[in-house]
Amino acid sequence: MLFNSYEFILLFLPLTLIVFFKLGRLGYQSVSISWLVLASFFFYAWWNPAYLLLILFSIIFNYSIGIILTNNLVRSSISNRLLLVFGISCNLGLIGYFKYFNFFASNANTFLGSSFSLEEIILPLAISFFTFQQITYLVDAYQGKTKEYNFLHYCLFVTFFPQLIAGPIVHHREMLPQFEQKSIYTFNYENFTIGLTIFIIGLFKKVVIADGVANYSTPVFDASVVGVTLTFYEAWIGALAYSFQLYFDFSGYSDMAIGLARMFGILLPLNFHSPYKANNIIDFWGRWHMTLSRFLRDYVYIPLGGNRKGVARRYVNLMCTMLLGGLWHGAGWTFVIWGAVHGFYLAINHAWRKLTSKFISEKYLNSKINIFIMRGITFFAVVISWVIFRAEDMSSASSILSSMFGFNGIPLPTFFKNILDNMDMPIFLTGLQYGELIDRSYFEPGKALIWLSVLFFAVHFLPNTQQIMNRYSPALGIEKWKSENVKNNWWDWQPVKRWSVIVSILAILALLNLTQVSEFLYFQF
Amino acid sequence: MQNFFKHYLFLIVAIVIVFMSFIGVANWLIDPYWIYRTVEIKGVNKIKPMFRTHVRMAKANLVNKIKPKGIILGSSRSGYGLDPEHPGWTVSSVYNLSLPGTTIYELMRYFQHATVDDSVKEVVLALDFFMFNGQRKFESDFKENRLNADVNGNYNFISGFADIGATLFSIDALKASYRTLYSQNEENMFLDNGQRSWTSYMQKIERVGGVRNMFHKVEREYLSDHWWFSSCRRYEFNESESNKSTFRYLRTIISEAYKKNIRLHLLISPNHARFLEVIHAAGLWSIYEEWKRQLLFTVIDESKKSGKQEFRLWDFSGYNKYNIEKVPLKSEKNKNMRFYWEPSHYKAELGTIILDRVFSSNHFSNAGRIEFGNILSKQSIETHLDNIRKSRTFYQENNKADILEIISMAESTKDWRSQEKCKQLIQKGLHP
Repeated sequence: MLFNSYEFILLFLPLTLIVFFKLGRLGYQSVSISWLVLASFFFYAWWNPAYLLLILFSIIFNYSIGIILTNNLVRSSISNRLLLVFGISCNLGLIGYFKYFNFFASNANTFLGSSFSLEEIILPLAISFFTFQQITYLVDAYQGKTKEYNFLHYCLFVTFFPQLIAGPIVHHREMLPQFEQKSIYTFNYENFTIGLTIFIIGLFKKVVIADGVANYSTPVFDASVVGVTLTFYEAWIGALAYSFQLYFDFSGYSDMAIGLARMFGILLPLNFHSPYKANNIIDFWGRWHMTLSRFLRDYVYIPLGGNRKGVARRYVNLMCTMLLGGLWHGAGWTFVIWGAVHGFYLAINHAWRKLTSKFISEKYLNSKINIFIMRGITFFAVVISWVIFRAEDMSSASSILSSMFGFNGIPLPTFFKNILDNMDMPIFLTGLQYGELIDRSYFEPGKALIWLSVLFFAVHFLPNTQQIMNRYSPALGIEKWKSENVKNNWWDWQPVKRWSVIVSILAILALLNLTQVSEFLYFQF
Repeated sequence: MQNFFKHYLFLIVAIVIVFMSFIGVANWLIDPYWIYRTVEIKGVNKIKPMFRTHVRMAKANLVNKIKPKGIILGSSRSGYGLDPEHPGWTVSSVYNLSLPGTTIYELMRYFQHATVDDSVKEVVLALDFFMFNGQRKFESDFKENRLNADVNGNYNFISGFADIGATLFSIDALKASYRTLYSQNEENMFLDNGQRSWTSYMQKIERVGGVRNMFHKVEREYLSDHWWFSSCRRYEFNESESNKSTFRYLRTIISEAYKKNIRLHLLISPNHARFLEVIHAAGLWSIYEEWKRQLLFTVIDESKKSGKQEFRLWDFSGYNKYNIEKVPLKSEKNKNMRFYWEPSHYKAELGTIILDRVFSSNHFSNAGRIEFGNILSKQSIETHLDNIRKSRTFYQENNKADILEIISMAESTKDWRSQEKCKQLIQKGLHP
């Protein structure tokens, strides 16, 4: 079930909430939790009931291994280690089969000449998320950082529907203690109101902004798949539109998750903090899909040795982590290369930091002009990487990128030709190209520019959801951003009339955009 | 403090409910897609310009409302040509459920949709060659969950809710209502019974400058696009994903018709003789003949399986006095044809003659019309195809100028029909 659907908003959510709090008020807390687990399973099964068994198996398997490790039942560190390796391997085996089998098999067939037959495997929803969350649990259980959890609570930790299908990737240490609090079983107007507000903001971001700006990216990427060589302008509009689409899609989804959990009195970790305001790539990864960065740092980068084994190893570790991070996003070479590009960006960023700290004064580094330049470069680098991330294949990605870098020419409007041809031209201007700037069958160029300018302004200068909700501690981990979250701003949300009108407008616009009526355009035929 | 939150919350709920109800009621009253049939006021919302671009949604919903006893299924050819009020129908209340640019899969799904509750007793199914091309993609306004039956023919209980949100509470519906209110000087493109009104075609012919230009336009579209050349694909019966033949959908229609005791009349739409030249020029003749053989084979096979009498399969294509009607010259801008709008769309006049023939057993037979249309059978199919081939030579000899036109058109569009060159054209950003 999608958050942005009628069945979720009008049926599933109200019913789940009402029954949960009714049971909670009657004092049946474990029944309440069971209900929430059941509802989450239903939420998952809505998409494909067959895979319910898979997630159930995964939960029982990991919970059992976790119990053995936590209680040190095997009493030998070697066996414990073996058990952990076994547990992680099973998890990776599962995701490896469902998500990566065809990718590896087809590559093996191409490069090694083997003949694995490709199978029709439907990727189980959320497998990347629940696998990672449970690996975390196993590793921590092995290291003795967990206590024995209640099975129902554990089930909820994995399946809790707000975070099940698109994150945030929650950590057992931040979730399970919350399920034990008695207060979450009583309906609380404050929590519900804050949750609903965050949910509406997220829904608006997703269905109005992300889906709206997608109209300017999809035609461009689609055209490049069939081999159309895009003009400089089309390629840039497509790339920027996609950068905003992805941002609002994902941050909208994270907002919705955080809002939904809050309706139940549960705080989820912060997942986005205005990533396009980042001043460098390191900063970017501290703001974009933060819970994934946290996982990769704690459970890949640091175990690989992090920065403790010398400079060279540090860069190798960074690269490996980002390659894996890339592959996690999808089974395809474009994702791997996207990961590599970010690994490379991060390496440059670290090296640059070292260099500048020696030669350039702190004062200049913190100056407004430097930050402005850095932010510009970072945004540019990120947009370039999104092209690779979005493109169907590398040839399409490189075709778009070469258009963006002007390798396919930067035509001027034919309008100028008439003027310039009548003038004495300096030599270097004689080779100018003229032509159509944008194919109007993709989109209306004027509208595209308005969308892009407004969103450019929004992502760089407007406060984000957490900053708006700052007074009411909207998410876990928000404390870290104190310096950016100064108190008493004009945008601070409060439960007052002005805000209910604003939020109502957002809600109405979101609801009106929840479904589209598809048109049949080819009616001549 | 809790009180502040309560007030804030109630205010949001109130604003959203009031506003959304207002929008919903407005869209319900104006009814831009012609689904709810609430009130129709002349000069306000009587004309429904949004119907034709949402035919799949609107007709699916209308069937639920009208509950017809008979339906016409087919493409825009039967949509224009076949009259639900023809006296030959043995049932009262017939709806023309034809869908523009459709596929045999869609027709099967709409057949299942309309027949799931056993009220439909008679069906005319008009078949076209392009419908069986497995390389075609779905039209964007086709949606499975609004149909009353699923692919296996089982009842879909939520079909009635599928379009409520989109048609009452969406920005699109709001825009459509606005458009409806401000387009009342146009004309409805569809009649109440689902048949298309023809004034739009007359205007189209006027716009392109006469019937012959209209012929050229359509022929060119077929030669470069409609058989899916412009997606750089070939015509194939097998679907690209499943690699299974599209004839299985026709099988389902026939077998379900037997099960439900529906009188099913199958017919191959007539085309103007020039259209057959276009099929030739596109290099599709042998597959076109194979299509007819397979249609017949499917009909015979399904009748054997059910142990019941074969449904009749009529072929109205080929050469006869209607299909070889002279096309006006380029200079005769205002001259119209009697039976054809353009090579692949026949007029309702011809449609009436078709239905006369199809219903002849239960209506009347007209001796003068006997030569139009053949019932295909195992014994006669090869002679039938051979006769068409022979008549074609005859037609070519008598219409040399027309033949030359089509040859030159085929020459100028040939790059689209070569998969290799088609890709190059698309890379240059060209459209057919």
